[in-house]
Amino acid sequence: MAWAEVRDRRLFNELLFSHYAGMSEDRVMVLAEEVFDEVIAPRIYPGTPDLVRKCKAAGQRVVFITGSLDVTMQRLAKELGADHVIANRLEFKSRRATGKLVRPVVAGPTKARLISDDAREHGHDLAECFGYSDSYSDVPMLSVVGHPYCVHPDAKLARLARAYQWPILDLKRAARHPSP
Amino acid sequence: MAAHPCVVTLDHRSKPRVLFSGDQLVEVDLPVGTRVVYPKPPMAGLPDVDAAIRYAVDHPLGDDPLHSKLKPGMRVTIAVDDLSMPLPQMRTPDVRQRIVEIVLERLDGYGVTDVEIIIATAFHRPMTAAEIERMLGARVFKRFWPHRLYNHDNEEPGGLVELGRTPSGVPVEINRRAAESDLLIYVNLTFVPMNGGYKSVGTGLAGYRTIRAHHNPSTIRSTRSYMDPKTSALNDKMVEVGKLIHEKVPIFQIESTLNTRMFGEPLTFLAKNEDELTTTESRAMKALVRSLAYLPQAARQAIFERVPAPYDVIGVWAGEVQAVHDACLAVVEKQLIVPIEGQADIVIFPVPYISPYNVGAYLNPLLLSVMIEGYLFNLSKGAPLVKKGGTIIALHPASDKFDREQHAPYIEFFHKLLPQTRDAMELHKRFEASFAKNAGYIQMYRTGKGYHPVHPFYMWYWGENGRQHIGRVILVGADNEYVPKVLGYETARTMEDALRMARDTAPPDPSITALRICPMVMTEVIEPKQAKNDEDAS
Repeated sequence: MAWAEVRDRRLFNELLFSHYAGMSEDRVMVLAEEVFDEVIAPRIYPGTPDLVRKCKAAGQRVVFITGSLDVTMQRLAKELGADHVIANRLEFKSRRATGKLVRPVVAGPTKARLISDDAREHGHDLAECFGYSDSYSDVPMLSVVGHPYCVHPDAKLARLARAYQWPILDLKRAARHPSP
Repeated sequence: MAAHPCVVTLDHRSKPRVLFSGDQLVEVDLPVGTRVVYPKPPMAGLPDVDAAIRYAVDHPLGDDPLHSKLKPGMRVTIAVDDLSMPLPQMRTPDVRQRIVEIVLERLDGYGVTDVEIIIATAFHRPMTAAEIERMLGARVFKRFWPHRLYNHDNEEPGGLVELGRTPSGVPVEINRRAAESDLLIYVNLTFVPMNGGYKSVGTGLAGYRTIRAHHNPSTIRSTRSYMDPKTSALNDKMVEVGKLIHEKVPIFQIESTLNTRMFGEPLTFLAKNEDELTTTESRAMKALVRSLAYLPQAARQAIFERVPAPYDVIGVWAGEVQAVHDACLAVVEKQLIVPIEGQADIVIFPVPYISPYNVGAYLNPLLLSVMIEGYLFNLSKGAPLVKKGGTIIALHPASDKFDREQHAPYIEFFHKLLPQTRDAMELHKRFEASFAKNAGYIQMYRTGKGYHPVHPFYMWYWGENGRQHIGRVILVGADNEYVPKVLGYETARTMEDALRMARDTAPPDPSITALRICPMVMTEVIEPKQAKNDEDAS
């Protein structure tokens, strides 16, 4: 898993979500809610809501694209005000997860294709679109938008950002001075 | 007219001049007859700065003493100029620390406890905690940081409030805390004539809707020199904004200024005429020139940046904004302005390593253009030093290098927008609005060390009156051809080559003048006829 996380995000996602095999759909939904409340929500950087708010204020359509599961990401999108989510979906048969992901698996270069399709469908010019990511595995996606940004990038992405002079964002703070 | 002692005309015995080229010094042989304008020697500092500050707040110009405005329970905001001036930073204690400490003494003495201090950054990068502590001192920092001492944040939701519209329709919005105060005390450091006055509050604490009304290409085009308030449309608009703010919020302005003592021991020789250096100084100069040539860039920058300037405070005034500013300007001009007879066909600008917008960062290609066509071009009272259509020869390596934290939007502006057009009007119309709303850059401005995304536009506009006036810019010492090409400059390998190129489009026997900056110097061109009349009258 560790090797896959670094080398092949698609494989990593497939391995990770194979653990859901046999789980009932309603159980997955409950787990997703718990994951959001206990794991994701406390880890949202303070600057993230600001960033989404500013994007919306600029008239942009905000799309979350992620290798995580759609059921958790829908909650996040609602919480932050995103317009759309492109995420991995578990395959269910007879209301039980098979442990496989519905194709296409959202990861790596596929993300670039999926956001290109989404932009085309909504009449957006990719050269005018903004992309934000923390992972080197998202370089294909960052490369196809006109305005790539790195957010707390991993080491490899940080090196690339320096080489290409991509802006690096720090979302750990929401404002310049804390409220008293 | 006898030439001012700071205007040296070179003859065949003159030594080579030593000029800044970024963070390097280069020796150049200039032709016989070239006039070199040197900064004026530093005026004497105030013998007791603290006493002068106390006197100023107790004997204000055009206003009542500070203590008479104070009462317990009132809300007071102190706004302070940021670190964009002076250049380089002054030795501690910074004059702003001295003023703020004395103001706080007064506030404490009158039971005023609702006090906040705002660094009036406008769209500049926020100052770091360490920089604020250095500027205002440990005592003030410990007492107020971070809840009651902070940077102005132009993008804080609900952080701005509209006070109204000026007679010409400019919406005036400023920092909410300042707007809702019973008294706004502005602590200013006027380093050049463009600083201070109503500009301080009308820009430093203002929001985008207000700033864009005066920071735009057409205003700068209508401005002869923004270092000369009387010929500055920029100044006129900022006064209009400042006056409206003053109608709504009482402002008590405190302005101070410094002399030209930029270099202390052992670098004092850098401010001197090369022909007047002692043997020891001459050797030291040569050694410095050679050492800088061998050091890596970061080390060169550190040498100049980490040695604070031993500036002396030469004046402090307090009271009504315009009265204070007029008094301050008179001294600033006395210190900086060197009269010179007639404009020049060819003007040489050595571009140093510093500007107000790159403290702690490299002077990037966009700032290079600001220096040449903006700041250095505008360092004149009245007519520019260079004739209309004349040539500027500038020295700088023009490296394609940007600080990614401070100047991220500059990178996009320079590499994506400027290759499409250098027309400031077009840049303003096509791109400024989308940059102004760029969420990523705004995040970097609000919580990182970044300049606001509209700042690179303002930097380009800043050179607009220069670009309308100057015929050609020839860059000497560029380490690449790309940056000069994007900026619209020609390049020459040596000063000799540049002068030969400049002569091609100049009249026969062209007049050549070099501005020997740093320290800071400004010129006031006296037309030959006027100079003769002055001489006859005397």
